[in-house]
Amino acid sequence: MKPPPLLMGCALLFWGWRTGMLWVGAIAGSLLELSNAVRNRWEFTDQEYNRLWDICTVLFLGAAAYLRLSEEITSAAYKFFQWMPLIYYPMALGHFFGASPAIPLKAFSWFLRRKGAEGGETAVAFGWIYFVVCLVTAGATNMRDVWFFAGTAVLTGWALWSIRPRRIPNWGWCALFAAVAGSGCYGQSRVQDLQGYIENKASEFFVRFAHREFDPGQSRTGMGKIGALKQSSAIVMKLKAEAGPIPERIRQCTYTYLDGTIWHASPGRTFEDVPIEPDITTWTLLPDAPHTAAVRIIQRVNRQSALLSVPLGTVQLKELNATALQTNIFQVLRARGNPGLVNFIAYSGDHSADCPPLEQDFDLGDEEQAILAIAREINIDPSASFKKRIAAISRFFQQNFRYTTYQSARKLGLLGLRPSTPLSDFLLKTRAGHCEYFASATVLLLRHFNIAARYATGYAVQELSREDDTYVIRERHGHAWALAYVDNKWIEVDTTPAGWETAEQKEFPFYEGLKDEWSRLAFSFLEWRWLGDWGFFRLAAPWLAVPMMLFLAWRIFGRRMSQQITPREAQNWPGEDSEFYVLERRLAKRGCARLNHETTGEWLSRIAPENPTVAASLGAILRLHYKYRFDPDGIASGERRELRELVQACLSNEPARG
Amino acid sequence: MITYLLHKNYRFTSALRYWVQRKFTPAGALVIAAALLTGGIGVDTNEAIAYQTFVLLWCLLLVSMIWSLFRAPRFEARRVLPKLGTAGQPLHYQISVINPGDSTENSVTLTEDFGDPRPTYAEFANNPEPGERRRNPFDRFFRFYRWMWLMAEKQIAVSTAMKLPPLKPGRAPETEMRLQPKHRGHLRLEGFLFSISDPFGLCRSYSKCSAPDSILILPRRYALPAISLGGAAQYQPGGVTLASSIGESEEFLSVREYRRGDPLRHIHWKSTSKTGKLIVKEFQNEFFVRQALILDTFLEEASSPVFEEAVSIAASFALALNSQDSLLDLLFVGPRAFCVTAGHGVAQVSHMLEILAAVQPCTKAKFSDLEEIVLRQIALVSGSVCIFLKWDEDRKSLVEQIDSLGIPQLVLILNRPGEKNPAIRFSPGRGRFVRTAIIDASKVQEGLSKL
Repeated sequence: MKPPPLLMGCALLFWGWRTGMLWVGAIAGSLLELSNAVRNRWEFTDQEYNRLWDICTVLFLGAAAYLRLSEEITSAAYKFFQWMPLIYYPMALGHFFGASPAIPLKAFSWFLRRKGAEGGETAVAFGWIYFVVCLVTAGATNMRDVWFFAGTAVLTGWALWSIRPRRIPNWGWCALFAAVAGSGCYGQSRVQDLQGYIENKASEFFVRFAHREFDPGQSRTGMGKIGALKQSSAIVMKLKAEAGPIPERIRQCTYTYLDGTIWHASPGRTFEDVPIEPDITTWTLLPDAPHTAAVRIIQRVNRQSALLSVPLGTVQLKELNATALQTNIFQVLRARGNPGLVNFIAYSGDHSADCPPLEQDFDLGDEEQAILAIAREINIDPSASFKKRIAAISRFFQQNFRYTTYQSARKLGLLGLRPSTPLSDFLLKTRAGHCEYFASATVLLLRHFNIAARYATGYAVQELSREDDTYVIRERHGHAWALAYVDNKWIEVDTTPAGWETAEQKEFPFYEGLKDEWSRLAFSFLEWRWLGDWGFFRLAAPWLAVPMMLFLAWRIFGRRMSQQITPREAQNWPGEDSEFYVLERRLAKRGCARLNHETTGEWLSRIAPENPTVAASLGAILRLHYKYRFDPDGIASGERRELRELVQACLSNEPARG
Repeated sequence: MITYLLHKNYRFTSALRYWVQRKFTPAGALVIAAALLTGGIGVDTNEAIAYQTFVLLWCLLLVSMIWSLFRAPRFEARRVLPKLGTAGQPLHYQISVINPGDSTENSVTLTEDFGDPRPTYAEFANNPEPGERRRNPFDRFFRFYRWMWLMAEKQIAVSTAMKLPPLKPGRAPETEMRLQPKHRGHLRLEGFLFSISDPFGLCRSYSKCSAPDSILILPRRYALPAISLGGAAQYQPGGVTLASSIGESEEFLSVREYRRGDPLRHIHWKSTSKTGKLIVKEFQNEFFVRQALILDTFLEEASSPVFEEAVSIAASFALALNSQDSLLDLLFVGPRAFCVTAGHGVAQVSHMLEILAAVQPCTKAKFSDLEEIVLRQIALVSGSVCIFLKWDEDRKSLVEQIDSLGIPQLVLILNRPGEKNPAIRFSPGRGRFVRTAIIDASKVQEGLSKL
């Protein structure tokens, strides 16, 4: 039931090598292999196996909580898998050093540990399960070389060799396994192509699920979606003004071309490295450009690669710890090799590093008819300046449209025989929508009035933290707006009706405040983890105090109550606390100890002549003691009291000697 | 309609589960689990290289499954079964396997085939699980626990797969097989399943050998303390048919004058010569200690764990009370009222156990049927043990009627786990010869030990 010698050690060594914990794997493997060298074994009881698994469960939950709070979700998940052999190591030690070849199934399930549960005695070959865990989790890394597959194949072959049925000759088995491993080697080389194909064909939901941050190449808007938009309260970043005013919006991506409900930025797919200054934390986007404002940004990011959110017109980043910073022609910033939380200062001025208008920045796409109708309604003087045209468009949206995060299918026209586009429905029918509708329509209207425009996504800065004078950006603050090219520079045009934040807040569930607090706690944990900010513990204290106090109360009062209810069950055996034993010890001290071969009755008969005062009540004491000790119906409370009093009386008559 | 769909669904999922358990070895199941796990970890091939393990494991599984499509070699086998088994105690028996092929077969595994345990639609629709009414509405609607209970009821025994030694052509080596009977009843064995696994030991292929057989599994039995009912042999003549030897007892009592029909070999010649009349020896009439074991079979449900425990207790008493010098009457109501007598050369106690192995709950008859047969028989017995499934006025009346005859009784009342113990009170002046005990059905051995 246990893997053959050396296999487990090699598997742990392999796991340690692949996950960057070579020494840990080597030590852990050696320790397990030591079980093959020593003959002594521990006789673990079922209870002890239960405790070992409970330890593993605590480690499991602790590791999950720690990683969830300290890492971005994807890297946390991979790291969690990498730690699995360590999490289950206590059970593995118990299994390999235990005398039993297998562990009962009930050790792994509190459900099966219940009295009367069936199937709990099924033997589980935990050694093999642990071997598989090591082998599988060794692949939860991204170290790409030929040795991973080779190592996996060798270990798998070794394991299967040890359990092979002796039906075919050894050379035949080896040839067959080599053929399977060869097929696997070829197959794994084509899996990435297969994934590329599936991703291209995958549904919109799947793509959105897989990439939680903005995609610099395209933006799938929520236009045309039915029902209410679901928004998270998780904190994405914090902002604090270092100099000048705080920006109203911070941008992450820019797009130029609308296709249906998807904004594209085809020229923006190419990224180039941003030069780094000698202090290795300063990155200049626009050399020699003056800056008028500075804002400190603390952003939660993916450790491998992440898009940074910065104000429009950012010319320089300082104090940014990353191995590389890249940008495209739309000044989308991508940092690589980050800590889990980046903390930097973005300096911004009037001129941004965004490229001048392209041909796509005037394209109306498929929405020309709707835009023409709206343009006629706005009726802007062709001779008016760009700024006046923008003001007229903004005024038009403020006066004639309203903000909503809910769309019904009937109003959107999706139930009709000739469904129109969501944007044209928004412009011509519903006149209500969320920011993506307003931003998209604004971009196209600006283009109609000969102003180069782009579609920008990022976050609105609107929630001021009461405690530390910083602005908190949550996922639900995600926003879209337009960029217009006026007077040789890009300016932000946000036509989403004022008060949209309030409109969203009205739709929050009653427990939204609790979610917000939890998000603050999670983000402050990240700040402690990556920046050494101890504010986390101040925030966590109330969360931890309540369960701890409840636990303490349960430990103190729960135990007391259970003692009061079932005093007999707390004893190891009935009559354990009988006062008769006190009397016995007292008599033993007086030299009247009971001999090994004597029953209690014989002993008392023997010592009665020497202890006349005790002898008088000995019979009654012994009868009551036997009843307390052996009667299945137990002893009545009155008799119990009588026993206590008789023994007390004996003891008081015969003071202890020696 | 819903019941029909549920039945179809459970039949299918049970068949699927059975197929998976049969098809894959434990190693195969582990490889499948590992393949699924690596699929989850390596779902994004750009983030982790677990997909390489995923592909390797699925290649192994694919080859194993293709290999297992070929049937296992055919074998013949026969078993030598004992006549009886006991629930809860392992049953060992011999089997001999013949390899009709030309080559030695290695790594062959043998399993007993008990047939399909899945309940039919009629069984599923008409047999509610004991205590089903106490389940929540969700469980009552989906009836999953009913399905599981019916499956368990039909699986009288379980058998583990046994690895056979190398099977040489034509040879029939005997091997010991082991069965674990779970509960009483007729255990039917359909045949044998021979399996071999693929070279990697992940999947199995099977061949079947028909060998129908059956064995009676006796009820589980408990250890009982020494039971003394307090009665004695007194005016309970067994009659000639119940005597251990033909004729009268050999114990000399007195002499008397000859009556017509007395055997000549009983003439006491010395007294005859002294008196001048034919005098014969008179012998003591033979009396027996005769006890009654009354089993309550009246149940509202088709089956119940409490009823099974009652049968087990009855079987335990049947063994404990029986001896060569006493008679034991088992009284219960099945399709009709039964009185089975064993002991003192009449019948073996094993005969009584066989009857108890087949006794079923009685849902249609009335308790008065049992009362009638008990009162007809009770005048012959010196003591009785009553095993009741509950305590009510009918049962109390029966106990009091027996008590009025001065027959000592031991009354055991089985109580469902968690239910309140019934209050036992007899009418004034009754219950003098009655000893009662309430036994928790989940702690039977503990309860019996206190008797």
